[in-house]
Amino acid sequence: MRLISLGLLAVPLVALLAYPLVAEQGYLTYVLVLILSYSIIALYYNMLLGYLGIPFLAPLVPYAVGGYTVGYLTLNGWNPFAGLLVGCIFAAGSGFAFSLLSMRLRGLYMALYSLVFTLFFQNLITRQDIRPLFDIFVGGIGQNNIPDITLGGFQWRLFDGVAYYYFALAMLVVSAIVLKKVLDSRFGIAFKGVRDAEVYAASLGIGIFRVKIVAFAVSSFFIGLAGGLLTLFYGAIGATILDTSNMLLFFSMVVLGGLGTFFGPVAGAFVMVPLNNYLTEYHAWRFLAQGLAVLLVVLIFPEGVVGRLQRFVRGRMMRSSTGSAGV
Amino acid sequence: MLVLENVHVGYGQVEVLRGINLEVKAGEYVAVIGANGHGKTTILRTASGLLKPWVGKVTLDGEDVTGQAPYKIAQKGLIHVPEGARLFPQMTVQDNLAAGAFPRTSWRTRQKNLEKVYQLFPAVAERKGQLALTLSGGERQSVAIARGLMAENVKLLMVDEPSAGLAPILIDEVYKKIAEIRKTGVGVLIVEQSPRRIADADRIYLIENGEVRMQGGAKEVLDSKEVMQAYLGG
Amino acid sequence: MVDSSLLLPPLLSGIILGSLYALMAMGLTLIYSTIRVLNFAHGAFFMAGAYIVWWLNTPSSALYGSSLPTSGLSVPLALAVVPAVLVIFVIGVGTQRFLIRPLIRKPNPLITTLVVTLALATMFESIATLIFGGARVQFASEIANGDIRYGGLIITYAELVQFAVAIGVLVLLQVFLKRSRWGIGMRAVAQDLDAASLVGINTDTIYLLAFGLGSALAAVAGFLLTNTVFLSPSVGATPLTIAFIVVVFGGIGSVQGTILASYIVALVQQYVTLFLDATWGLSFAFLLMIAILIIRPQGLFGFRET
Repeated sequence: MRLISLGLLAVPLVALLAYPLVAEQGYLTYVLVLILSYSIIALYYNMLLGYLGIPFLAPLVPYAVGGYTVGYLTLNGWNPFAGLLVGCIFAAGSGFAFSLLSMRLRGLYMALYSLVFTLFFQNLITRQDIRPLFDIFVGGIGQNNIPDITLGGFQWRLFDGVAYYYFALAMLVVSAIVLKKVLDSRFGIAFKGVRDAEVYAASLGIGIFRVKIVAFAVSSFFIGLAGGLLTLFYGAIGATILDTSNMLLFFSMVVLGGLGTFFGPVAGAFVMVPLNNYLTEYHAWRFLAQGLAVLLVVLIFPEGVVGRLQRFVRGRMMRSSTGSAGV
Repeated sequence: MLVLENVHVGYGQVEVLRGINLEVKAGEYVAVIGANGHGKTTILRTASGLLKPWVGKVTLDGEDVTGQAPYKIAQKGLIHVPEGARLFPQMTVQDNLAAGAFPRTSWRTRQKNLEKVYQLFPAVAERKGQLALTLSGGERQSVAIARGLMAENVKLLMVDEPSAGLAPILIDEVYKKIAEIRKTGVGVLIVEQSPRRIADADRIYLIENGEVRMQGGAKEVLDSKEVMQAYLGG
Repeated sequence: MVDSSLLLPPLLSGIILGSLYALMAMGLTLIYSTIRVLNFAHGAFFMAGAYIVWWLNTPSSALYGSSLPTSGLSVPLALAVVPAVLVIFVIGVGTQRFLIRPLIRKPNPLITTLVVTLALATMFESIATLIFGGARVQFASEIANGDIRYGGLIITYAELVQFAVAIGVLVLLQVFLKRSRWGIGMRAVAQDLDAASLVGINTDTIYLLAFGLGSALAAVAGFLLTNTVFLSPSVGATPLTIAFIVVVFGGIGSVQGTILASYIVALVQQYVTLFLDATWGLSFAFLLMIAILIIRPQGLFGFRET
């Protein structure tokens, strides 16, 4: 069983590794970098949304914190990798701070609070009249001309950013392995307690608080990683990153793929990100198509596509095992 | 009038009722007794449509109502007064009663029914302007029964543990009211944990582990050794 | 030191604005307290209602030197509101029937309904952009002309109409909920779903009605608020955010909480605008909500969900 799933994983992984060597590069590489980075977000957003069952609507905040930190530090002469690490740590810090501020909130209160928190954050960083904030976030203009990563004189954005492609792929693999380890650990098992507390409104013990705080910090760390990575890739970041349409993208990746399934959100990223990017030139039609796609998929597969698939496979296996037992 | 045939049902994977057969004839007074957790409440929840049977059939006046929505079953005159009264807490007593008259035919005659109900429960009439959440346990139980009687065509009143949490004197009061309701020709199906209060029932079902352990006339069942065993755990 | 006569105008404008916020937020509260669903498309309904009135009312596209579609019917504003409200009511009913009902008994209803209404909002916004373009448009006229001046105070008739209509609709809604058959049924469903169905209340129909009515309130608020300012496909975003703040602040599902919080948020916004500037108004509303939720996780008047 384990071998089969490893084998199933190896195929797409090899394909992704080999892709730049065999295929024509260009816009597809650009979109793949986005897909890989968004997959990291999807994995860790799902950790909160699916595995912990917390209706958290502010994943854009750690993303922005990670991105702006890297941008600011790199613009001020830091090494991009050092900046990325600091960005992740700051993002984790933002998740930690948010979880402290929202510790006692549940259900819709959490959903609305985190959503409004996002808008508040956006409101704050676009202000022109607070000097220190403007110096860091550059208001509505955003940070631009963030220096590219160079290694041994090689500009990473050259050759359609193939270096970013491999970097994002490596980060995705690392992120997925870490997530798997976390979920299998004693800590991950405690997630179920948090989810039950969400559903049954059970009293929240100290243990649950601790699990929630750490989970928020960990997931924000990796969402911040994706934010930082993409900021370096784009060479820019602006406050529009916190728009609600982006929220829909984050959210729909996880829900379409399947809440609480491991690879569902990654599948979601592979569908939603291209949909988002290839249709860019169609403006309003893009949002219409995206909205319609999300609507239909959720209505047809309320448990997500991968969630539905898993149930189907499990059902088949159960039937076949009982069948063979009968013989 | 109400017939449950071979009903199997449960929650999640757990089967609670394992093939229940039960019947209440028009105007009859039937009691269901048994220790806690053996499926008495589940019988009422299945009859009123809150639970859909896994297997089996529920018929009302010969009509198959299995799996119908609770409000449709209620509109046909099968009224379920749930455990713990379940009043609408932020509404006045009067509005609670008005909610009981929601079906169109009942709404037309609600003034008449309101007077009838106030006559039956003078204590409820005194509290009509109060919010339901301010009532005492006995008052709540009365309002819940009164709310059920606001339906114009009520044929069978199913009351779940009207004695739960009440002082003995209040329990007597509730059963006196139930006796009065019976006189108007309305059938009554009562679920009780304690067999003491329902000695005047026409028939009694003894439920154990989701099955009918015994059924028959009140005296016959209450004097049986099965009842002793069920309650003493013998 | 601020002149004390400066303190009065924000009070008046705060009360008028608060009434409009209450109208908007009450729609969300009605839907949430009955169905336990948060409608993210509420802002889109706000926008769509306003556009329908605009479309019916605007005489001809020549007014703007552009080719924006208008009905050319020049329906008077007071009359044009009626079909707008009806259309949004029907859209609300349809949303409940075809988008919410299939999801509500499935796993994770909170999250799936959030995604679906968010997607619906996105679709509405893009449809409005496709039809009317992304730019701001204005109504040809305000709902009433002229103003009253008293001392240093100026109140326009348009503001008075906004206030009167908002209060009127809210009072009518209360009467409906307290006195009518469907209103009592709706409150019963909100307070105990199972008990309501056991006394013969058709919960499915109540859900449809609640969603329709709640959405219709957004349409009324949409017209009233945009009439004196401007209209664009994304015009619903800020009112929706404010409605969210109000609803959480007052306690989700609480009618008194919603009304009180509407006025508090509007007054805070107006006074902050007086002392700092308008851009700070919303920030303070955010801060207020964050502070309240730290102290009371269930809002001012909310109940702990059981």
